[in-house]
Amino acid sequence: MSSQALDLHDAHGHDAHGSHAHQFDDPIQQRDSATLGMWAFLATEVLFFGALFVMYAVFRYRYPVMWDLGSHMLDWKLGCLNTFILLFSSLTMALAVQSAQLGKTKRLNICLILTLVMAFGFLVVKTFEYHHKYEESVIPGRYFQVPPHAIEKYEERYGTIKAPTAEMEPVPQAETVYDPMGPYGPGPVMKDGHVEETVARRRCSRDSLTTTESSSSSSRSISR
Amino acid sequence: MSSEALTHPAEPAKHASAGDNYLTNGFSLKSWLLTLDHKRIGILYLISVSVFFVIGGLAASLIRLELITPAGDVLSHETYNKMFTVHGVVMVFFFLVPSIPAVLGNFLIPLMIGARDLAFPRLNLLSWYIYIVGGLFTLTVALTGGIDTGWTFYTPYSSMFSNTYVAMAAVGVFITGFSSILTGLNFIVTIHKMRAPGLTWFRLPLFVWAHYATSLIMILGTPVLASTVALVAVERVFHIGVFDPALGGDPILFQHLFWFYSHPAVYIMILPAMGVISELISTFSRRPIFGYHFIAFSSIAIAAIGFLVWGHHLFVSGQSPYAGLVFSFITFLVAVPSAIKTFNWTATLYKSSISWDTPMIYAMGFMGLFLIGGLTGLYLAAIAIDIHVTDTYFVVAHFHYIMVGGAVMGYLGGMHYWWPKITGRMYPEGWAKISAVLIFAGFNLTFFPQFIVGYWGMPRRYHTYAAEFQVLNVMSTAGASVLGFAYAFPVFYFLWSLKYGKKAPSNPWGATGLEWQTPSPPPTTNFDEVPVVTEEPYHYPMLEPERV
Repeated sequence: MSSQALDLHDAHGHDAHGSHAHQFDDPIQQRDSATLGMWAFLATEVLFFGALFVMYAVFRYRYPVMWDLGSHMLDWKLGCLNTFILLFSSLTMALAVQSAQLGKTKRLNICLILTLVMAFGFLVVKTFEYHHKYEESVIPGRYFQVPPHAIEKYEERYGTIKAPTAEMEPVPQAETVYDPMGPYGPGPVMKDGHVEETVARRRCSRDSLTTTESSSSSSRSISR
Repeated sequence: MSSEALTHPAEPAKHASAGDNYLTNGFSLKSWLLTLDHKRIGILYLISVSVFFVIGGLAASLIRLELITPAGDVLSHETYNKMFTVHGVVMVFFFLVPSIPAVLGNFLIPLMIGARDLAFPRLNLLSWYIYIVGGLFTLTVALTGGIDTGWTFYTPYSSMFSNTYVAMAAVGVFITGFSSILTGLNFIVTIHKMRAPGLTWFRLPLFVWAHYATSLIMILGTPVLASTVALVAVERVFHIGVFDPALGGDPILFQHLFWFYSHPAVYIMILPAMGVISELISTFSRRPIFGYHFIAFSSIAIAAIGFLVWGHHLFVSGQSPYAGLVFSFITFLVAVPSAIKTFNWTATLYKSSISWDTPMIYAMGFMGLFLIGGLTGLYLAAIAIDIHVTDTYFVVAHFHYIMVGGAVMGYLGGMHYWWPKITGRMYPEGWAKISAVLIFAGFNLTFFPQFIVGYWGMPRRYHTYAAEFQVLNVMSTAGASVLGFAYAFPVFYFLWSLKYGKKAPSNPWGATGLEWQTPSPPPTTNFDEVPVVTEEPYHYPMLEPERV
């Protein structure tokens, strides 16, 4: 008796109820639930990336010159190509879903294969982009270096960078341009000169690596 | 859904005999671990949540043990830091957030709305496994050395300086967040789409309304926490400057992102408890709830306003004072829907016939403790007072009145109220009443002195303190001992009742609500026939209790 009920349960109602799962009354209710569930999931995704967008906005506001400089380090041709691949693979995927609904198996297979091919194509393009960045040491974290052509670009737009000097460590105080909130505000708006010092310090990132570590370990002992 | 559902009642019920229920539907381990039945998943959550409660409670008892004397003599300062972190992380993310929704909500929402299961049973099981994986990560951290950042993971200490396993704990919290998201998503879809014929939105039990509001917070708040702790881990592992000022990051940004989830998380804990209390008050005063619509919408209002108050955790952080003013004002606003609930519960009790069964003692305890917790929350919403008591035991006492006095009292009240439905057995009423009263007394003895000692200026998160605070700390530790023993009672008599308790009828309290119209424990498919709702909720004068 109990095993019979269990079997029905495990089969998830496919035998007993035909085209819908056992918890639903009919396929329409099941479809409506799936749709609402997908929208709710999309809402969570918006919020998930929302935090990252906030971070993006804050840093873009804080370091406008860095952003300007960073935009010149991207390869717009590869970027365009990848955007196209992404959008086109969305199209083929949507067509695949439609083909499945219409029962057109051949078109479904073609669309799925196209989508897969483009997925790999996307990765190939990314490999070229990232490999180039890796060679220039434009990688996240402590081994990051500003490539020479970016520094040239910077000097072309904002003037010559001074040679790094010893008194640049520790982090220099940025000069306040306008601080509407006073001492309790979100922080001073940086003058562009701040970036120039940062870039200069990044040039000798190997040296600053050791100083960063020693300063963090000293803070460790203070925090105990 | 309606007419077809009526002509085709749930089919497996045809095969089920009278004595068949969800507990007897398979006894193997597999039938539990691979179950798609929301009731069994609720039981799985009940067991795992209880285990985490014990772990968090042990950490709390070590903290209170240390604080008997002003000197640091039981734990080293490092161990003490790890203890309060374990206590906070485990209690918040692994006990309070899943407690009422994942145990009682999981079990009851389909029953209350007359559905055979939640909309997505597989997602429901997946959420439990995700919870367990996240829990294992966190337990591994706790066992291999712990973390010492506090449950708030404040940067740059957590991301750059702490010498403990912060990244792994962050991964644990990140993973567990998705369990909460899936539960919330499941509830929202179920409440929207799976209601029985005749069960309109304003015939829903207030428990369901409260869970709807909770689910909104879960799906909209938790993802932000997930990406925030992920950023902490990224900064820690790859040294990408996001929050650490030495790397050009912004530590205040972390606090904004963290509290954007973690303040609404408090409402994830308290709203379901309020839903439970609405049920209890109405049942045990034998009256329709006063101001049904107001209570229902106040849940939604708390969820909505709750998303706009996070900045009151940043009053001393260097946040703009103008932002502080706005956050302070909105925080005061949250008191309005909370007060609406409290006044409506009180009005329900007025001139009603109250019976003092155990769940009602918890409900009354909840109202008193939530009142104190809520009013002291207003103190903290006022910027000037908040700056004075920031990071003192006043804050600790305040949020324990809400999270323990509110959420845990609601959870235990709900567990006692629905235990006969869940297990088909009655618990021993005498022992249950004793433990309910002891919990109330022990709780107040533990945390009321902390208001005073905090107002005097004792800071939180230190293992030593000034000698003049000792008397109140000894009182607090004594109260914690009472509380610890009182929490242990239900574990024993609940387990005892499984074998020796009296068999429960389908409606031992004479309550309204669809969950009481099906046998205790319910059959696997919940209802033999899909119920049709024709009455308003809490239709009490019509009913006579069917006592054992």
